[in-house]
Amino acid sequence: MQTELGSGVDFYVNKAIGSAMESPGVEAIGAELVEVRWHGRGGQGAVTGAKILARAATKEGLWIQAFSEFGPERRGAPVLAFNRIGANEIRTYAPVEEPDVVVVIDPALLERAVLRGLKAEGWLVVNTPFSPRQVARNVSFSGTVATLDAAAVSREASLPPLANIPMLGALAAATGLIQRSALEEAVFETFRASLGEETARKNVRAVNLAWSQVRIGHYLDPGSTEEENECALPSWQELEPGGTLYQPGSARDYLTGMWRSSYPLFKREECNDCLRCWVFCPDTSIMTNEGKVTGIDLQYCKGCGVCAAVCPRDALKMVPEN
Amino acid sequence: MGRSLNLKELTRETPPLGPGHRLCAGCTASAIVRLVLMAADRPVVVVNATGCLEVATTVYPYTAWNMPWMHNAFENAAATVSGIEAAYRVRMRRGELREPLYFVAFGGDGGTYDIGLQSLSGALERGHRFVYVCYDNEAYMNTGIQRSSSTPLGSWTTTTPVGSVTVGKSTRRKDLTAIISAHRIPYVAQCAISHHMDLMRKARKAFDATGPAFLNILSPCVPGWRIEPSDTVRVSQMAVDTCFWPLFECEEGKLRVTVQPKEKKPVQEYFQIQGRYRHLLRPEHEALVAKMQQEVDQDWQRLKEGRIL
Repeated sequence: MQTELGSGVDFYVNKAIGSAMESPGVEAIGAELVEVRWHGRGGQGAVTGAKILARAATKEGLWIQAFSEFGPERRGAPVLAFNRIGANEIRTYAPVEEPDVVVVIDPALLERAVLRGLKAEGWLVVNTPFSPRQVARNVSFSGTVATLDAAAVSREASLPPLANIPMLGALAAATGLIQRSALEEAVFETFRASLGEETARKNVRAVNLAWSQVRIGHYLDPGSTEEENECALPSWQELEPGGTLYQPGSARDYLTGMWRSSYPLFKREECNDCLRCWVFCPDTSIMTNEGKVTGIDLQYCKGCGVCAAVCPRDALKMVPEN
Repeated sequence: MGRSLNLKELTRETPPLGPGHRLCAGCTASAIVRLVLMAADRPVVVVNATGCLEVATTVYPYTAWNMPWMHNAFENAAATVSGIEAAYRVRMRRGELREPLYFVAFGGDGGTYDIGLQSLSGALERGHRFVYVCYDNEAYMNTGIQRSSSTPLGSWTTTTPVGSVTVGKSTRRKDLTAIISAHRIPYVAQCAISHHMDLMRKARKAFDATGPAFLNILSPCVPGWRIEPSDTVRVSQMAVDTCFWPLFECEEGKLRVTVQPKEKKPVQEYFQIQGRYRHLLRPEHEALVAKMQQEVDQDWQRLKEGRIL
């Protein structure tokens, strides 16, 4: 099938190619319809990963959807992408609420919240150097956990440190959802079209490396997680008319510091308190006392670097996290 | 009159728009909002048109606003603020309210140049006492960078692609500031985030105006202009230095340029620091760039002569 799978706008696909009868992957996971939720950040390729998974599934004659969350999340912010893969035509276009597979592309996003709605018999596939057991303990998940050190795979494949393609390999290898040859083909086609054959080959290599390096563990933890998985938002009947909110500035409970990949290092001795950083900081993260700059509020700083760019002295310098 | 525009003193106050909003890293819209609202010396009621600012600052159940704030729809921010202001005047007259207030509406270029222009024009003509602020990022950024009537000639957007047939947007931008000034309201100004004191002084004048006031503020956009997050203020500065976005005000019909670049730079210097214009640097587009430079020069000359059109 010919579908636009490069980077670009979000899209829905729902087409079957060939017979939908043969569906080893869907059988492997024991369901008619498999739903996948990807957790990444804007720019990390979660959406591209979902699109390539869908393309691979079409090669096995499966019905597919790939789409991303349409919301206010911006570049660097946590984003969600989704797949539906099934033996029969897929009529649901709603967001995936109870995924069979959760893929976490950014290790920093691994917390209990990623388990929301994940079925007890589902799969948690995580980009991390840690073992499946450590991950299962960390988020107290009872089920099957697969882990892959995607950064190591990218390095070995001479690729930039993007985790989405290694994680595709890990996902397919761990769940048996897609056969290796179909995934290799889909990855190759996608990258050959956009970045040329050499890059395409490196990405296929990343899939293969991931396939052999993924670690899988199954853990039976009696602790029920259902209660915590409940959605915290009120139902429409419980909403105030007009969606009124009574707490000014309540967004301060939403920490945007986790968007950051570098942070401003502040040198008090260089600062002349011109306050240019304070004026321009988009996230009110320049802390002051009596009109003097005292530091950076890393709870909210998104690491944009505007403060360092507008500083007339050398008081602010961007340095990578870690 | 009111409080001073002394930055050191303003750091002591609660920011009008707090942290935890989900605008892109480096986005200039939040600083624009803060600078405008910090210039107010009375409590403010804010109305927001649909757009990045509205969507990213009020993700349910959170709000980043530290003042009364209302969103209605894309096209009617000015109509909504009109209604609030009219109700306020009635209740003041009846003695039910005593505190003097300001009313502000924020809209992007989509909500102002295009979708909300009719309701804005009506509100200006009716003479409601409010300040309308357009944070102008020159395309529909919230929905994924589609062209608006504010998108400049030659600029790449997803709906004005660059290729062998088209070279970005094929028409000039609408001169909204001139259209607004044709309503003969007491105060109209163009501002840029890079010139923050000029911006705050203009906001103060807008609040003090005896009728509707309008601020058009250039708001560099990281994904839409294809620039680095750290570069937003520098790009704004270059827009002013090239006179691509001239800073002026029109007070009771009298036009005055407020920022004269020390040395007026060629428009190429503005184009080369943004991905959306990079194609214009290719030799085959020399004639187009020359035309754009000529348009900028003509507009600048006209403004210096005190004419808005």
